[in-house]
Amino acid sequence: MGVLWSKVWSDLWHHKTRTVLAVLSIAAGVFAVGTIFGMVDQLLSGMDRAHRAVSPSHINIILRGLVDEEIVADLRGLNGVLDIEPVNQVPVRYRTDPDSAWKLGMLVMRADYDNQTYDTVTRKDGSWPAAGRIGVERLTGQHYGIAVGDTVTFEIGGEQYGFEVGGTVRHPFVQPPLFGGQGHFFADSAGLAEIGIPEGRYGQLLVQVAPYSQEFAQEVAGDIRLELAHRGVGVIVMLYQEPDAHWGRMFVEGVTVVMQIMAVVSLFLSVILVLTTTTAMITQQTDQIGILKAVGARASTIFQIYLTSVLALGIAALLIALPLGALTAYAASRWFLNVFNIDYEVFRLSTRGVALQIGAALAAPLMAASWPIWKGARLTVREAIATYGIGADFGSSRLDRLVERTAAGILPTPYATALGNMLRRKERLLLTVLVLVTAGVMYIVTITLVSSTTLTLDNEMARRGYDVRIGFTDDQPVETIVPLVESVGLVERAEMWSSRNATLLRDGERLEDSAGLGAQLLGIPIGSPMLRPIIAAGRWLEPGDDRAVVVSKDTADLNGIAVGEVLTLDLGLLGESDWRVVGIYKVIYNGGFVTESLYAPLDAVLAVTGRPGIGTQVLVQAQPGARDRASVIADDLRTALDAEHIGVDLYTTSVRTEERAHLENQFNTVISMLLGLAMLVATVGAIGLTGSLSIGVLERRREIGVMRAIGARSRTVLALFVLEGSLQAVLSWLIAVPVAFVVSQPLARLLGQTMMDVDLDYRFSLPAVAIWLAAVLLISALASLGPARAATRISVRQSLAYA
Amino acid sequence: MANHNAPLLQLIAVHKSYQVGDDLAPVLRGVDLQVDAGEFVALVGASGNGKSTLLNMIAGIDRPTSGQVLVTGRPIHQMSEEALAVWRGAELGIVFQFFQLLPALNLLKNVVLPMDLAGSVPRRQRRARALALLSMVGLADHADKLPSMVSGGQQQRAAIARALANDPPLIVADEPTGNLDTDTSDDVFRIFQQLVADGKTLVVVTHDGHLADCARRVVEIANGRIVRDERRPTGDCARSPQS
Repeated sequence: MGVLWSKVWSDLWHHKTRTVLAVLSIAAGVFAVGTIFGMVDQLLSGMDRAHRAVSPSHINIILRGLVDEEIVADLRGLNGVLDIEPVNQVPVRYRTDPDSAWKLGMLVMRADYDNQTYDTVTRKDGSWPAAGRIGVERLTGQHYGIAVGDTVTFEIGGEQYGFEVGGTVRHPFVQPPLFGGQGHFFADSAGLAEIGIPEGRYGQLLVQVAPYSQEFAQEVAGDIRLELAHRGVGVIVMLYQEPDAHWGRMFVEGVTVVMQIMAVVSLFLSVILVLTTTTAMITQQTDQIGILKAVGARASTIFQIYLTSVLALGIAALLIALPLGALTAYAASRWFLNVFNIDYEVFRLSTRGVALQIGAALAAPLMAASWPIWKGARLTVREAIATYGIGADFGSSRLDRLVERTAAGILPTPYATALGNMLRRKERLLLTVLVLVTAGVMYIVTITLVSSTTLTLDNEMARRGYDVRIGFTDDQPVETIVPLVESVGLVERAEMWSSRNATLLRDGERLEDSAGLGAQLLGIPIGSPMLRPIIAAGRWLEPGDDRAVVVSKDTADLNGIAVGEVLTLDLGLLGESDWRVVGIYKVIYNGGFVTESLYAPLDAVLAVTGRPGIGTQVLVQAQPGARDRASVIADDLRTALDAEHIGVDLYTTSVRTEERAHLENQFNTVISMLLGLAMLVATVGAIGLTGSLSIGVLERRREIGVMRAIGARSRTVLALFVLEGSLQAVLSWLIAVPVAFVVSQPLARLLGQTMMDVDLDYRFSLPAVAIWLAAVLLISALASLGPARAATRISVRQSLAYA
Repeated sequence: MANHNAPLLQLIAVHKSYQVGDDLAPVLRGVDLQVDAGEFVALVGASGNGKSTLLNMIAGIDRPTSGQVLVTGRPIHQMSEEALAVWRGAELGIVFQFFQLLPALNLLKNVVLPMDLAGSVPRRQRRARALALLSMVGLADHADKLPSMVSGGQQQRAAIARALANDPPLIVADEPTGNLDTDTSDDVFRIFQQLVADGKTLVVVTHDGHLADCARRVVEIANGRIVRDERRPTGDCARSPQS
């Protein structure tokens, strides 16, 4: 090979622009692969590692009421229970500033912070709660700016209690405040006794089962619930956790599936750019290939030298993208894990990420470049040196001639020329446009996902007629609550509902609920305007219904429940009763950790409980025009209820506008990632377009020289290339829009299900179509400026002298 | 002196036609030509009459539609592209009108290139041989320069040196002085004469009447046929005061 290695190096060095563009094209895809796959590995392993380290409970039971040590000991004796750690978790209102509004929070108590069993919390700084001092949860402290030494005032049952923050504590299972999680604080048993919770009484049980399986854990949980029900203790919610997998894994897995697909798409696009660049390089060096063959080079030799060039580009791209991708993967993983309150301080390299990057940088470009290089190497000497610069292959096909006639007839000469130039190298045009089309489709699909998400939330909120929903820790009389609530300012009307924990049975066998968190029989007034869910089969509750129930579609599908079927509900101490399924409703999104609701007529539920005029939650409608002030109404309601010593249950209390905001936060995290990837693809497209136009300038040097020799001004030459870029942009837009229209509905639905477990309503985003046209024209203008200016700087003498 | 007993080059009833749109355009119409070793042949004629096409047949760059092309007894019209590439590297030197040096290699490396490809010259001798060839054409001092850094005439001389890299018996040149001024053309003429004196066989396509005068045999092509084949006792490269 000898001096041919000099040619390889010299070609790369003396065509720096082309080399840099090619390296950047490859590096973009390699970076995306390394960052995303590296992040996936670190995220999931980091989450699971942190999860296992806290000895997670298998079942977390939040009680309605308190249990003592004796009941806990009895529960420990149930079959399958390995151990139980009783703890306390009290909903509170808090503030750090006397002038600020009260916020909802949770005060957590452990009997002995130095000897925790399950779901262990860790002290990050300061001291454990003791002697009138509390701990603040780390995310709470970060989000709300609460630090060691600050004073937090709690309001419980109308009384206010001030505590100094003595330390920062990390709790492994708090929902991030960003996603609607409440503020969390920590106290010792003396601290809780100060606010009325006696020592030795507990409202939460952390349970591990043995042997572990998800089914067995649910079975044991059912046994515990029944045992508690027989002792008159209700269960608000049961949360299940896998011993080895973090609770946020499903969300992250869904997100990462989509991101991995996008990374592969980015790599595919950068490979297309390699194909475009290599094809252009071969085209540019066709005469050199002819000379090499004329002086004795075989096709295999030519193949080898150009493939070596591509390998060199891949190595350069790898050197750039590998460290960048590794660092970005670590930084992104760290940020993401911190959102889930997981520490991630040690830099780790993902072996899989590195391996994929090496493959992406070396193997992918080589495979992509092989075909155009082999085609070039197979050229005969005559084919290679018989092309005399101007003209290429345009005009040889019917399409070309049609374009020429049409363009010449209706367009000014520069535009017609630009159109002809664009079609001159159809393969290269196809590849460049393909990248821009992909970017356009990704952008439009992502914005359509946003639009569909907004529509889904709008529709879901419209089905919820209430603005505030307040659950009580104890049953409350309707005649007390409704007047009290309706007396609060801006309240239009209030309605009481009643719920009871229920276990679904069929022929004596327990049925599964879809979320695995337990079910509740929820009595609502027939004809209530507060809720009208989507009915998937059968009907909603109607006047005349007695023991009628509407179950969720997920539970119905899970157990093969059909409309008309009679199910038995075990209501614990209230015994068992039969209910006919009259309808099946569809849940769009219920906020995550919520028990399954079996909707029934309120009167029927009260009749079963034997306690007429009693309810467990109140639903409140704001006055017209005040619906956006639901948070204020909720605060006022809590104040009024606290003044009457009426306990509010955090898990069944919500404000409609806050529910929407928390949902949007979760969606927005994912959508931001998708938009970021769409921008990455658009960048790759811009690089591709720049490269394609640059090659066009190089190929048409002599043509440009001739044009300038016969009177073309610089601005005409500039306009030619800018126009050509714009035409490519418009062409890509014309293709991207119908493709996006076809794929966005199934894709949006898939993304909604995969990432958020939500059945999205669909709305195609027309504004996105217009925005993308503007964006792609801007991209093309920026991409073509460099090559266009280079074209104007070509002198007649240089371009017409044969070099 | 030419050896009439063993022609180095034989074209037998060579026809060549090209597809132009829906028509078949004949370029060579039954050309018969024999060139002996050591001859200096000038192919002349008006543009578009088939001179370069004929040269491409000889160089294996193009194939006849019918007929035979034999070079050193080998039927090159039947050889594969791979075999032709190898054959050209070893047996043929080509000089193009537009020099066609590889722009990324300096003059020395351009001359070494055919030796690397053919492998017939031992590796350790290639650089020295290339320098010697460049010296022969007066370019030893420019060996490390890129083609873009030297004049057209110097590039053409380097191209001639490259054509001689593997010491081929036959050298073909297509309008070698087409882009050169008079003085530079004279340099090329002298080099060609020296090559012939050294026993090389030279076939040159040219419009340059003076170069044609240097040749001892002039073959005129018109309308795809040989219309004149004139041998002279000697070539006369001396320019008249008016040229």
